[in-house]
Amino acid sequence: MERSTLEHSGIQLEPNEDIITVVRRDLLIFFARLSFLIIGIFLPLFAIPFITPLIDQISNERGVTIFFVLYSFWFLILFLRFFYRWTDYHLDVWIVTNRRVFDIEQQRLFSRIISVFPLENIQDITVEMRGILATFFKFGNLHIHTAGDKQDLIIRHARHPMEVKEVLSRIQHEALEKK
Amino acid sequence: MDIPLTTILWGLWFVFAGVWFIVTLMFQYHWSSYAKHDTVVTRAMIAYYTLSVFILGIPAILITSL
Repeated sequence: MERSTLEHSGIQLEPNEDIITVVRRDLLIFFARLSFLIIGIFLPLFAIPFITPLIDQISNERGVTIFFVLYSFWFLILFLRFFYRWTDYHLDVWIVTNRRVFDIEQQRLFSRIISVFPLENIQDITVEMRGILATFFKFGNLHIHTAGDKQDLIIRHARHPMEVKEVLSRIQHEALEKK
Repeated sequence: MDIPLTTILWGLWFVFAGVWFIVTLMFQYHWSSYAKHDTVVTRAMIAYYTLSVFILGIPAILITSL
């Protein structure tokens, strides 16, 4: 699966380069960002007693049916929006190999930024977990400070950031020992 | 000119079905390259197409019943 992510982004792995782990945003963040969709699904239903009599007046007592036809169209917009957000969430990924870290950030459906960070350039890794939810559900920001002019890599709302930090430290140590 | 209500609703239905079709093509472009290896994407595609049948089918049935 991870290889298909790389292929889709036009990235080829080097010989003897293996994928160690894949990091994604926590699902809780994905659902939190969708809260307006949940409100959008239920809000029109509360308006049925007020809207249907109005539609009845212009449609010869067929207000409820017409309301649900219009509601279906509204639901379709929310449905497409949900899958748009999900695709964005699923394609936003950080892939750690035994040589590099790939940061694939899907901004919109046809807009993405791909950054590659060689492991030897990593100088320091900081984990930031703020708040009750982040502590209980184990997600947080992972700051990877790199050498040179390149901007630091920040993995926001990553799932299990402590484990990712340990994996990164271990493979970086192994890579340095091999040299 | 007095346009029947069902004609207006069918017109709207075709507009939304067109939007669905274009957006689906865009999703399909991204999903198709993952579907072979990624079961999560395969499941999402199955859910998307199954729900689409209902979301586009139910208003069509309701308009026909008017």
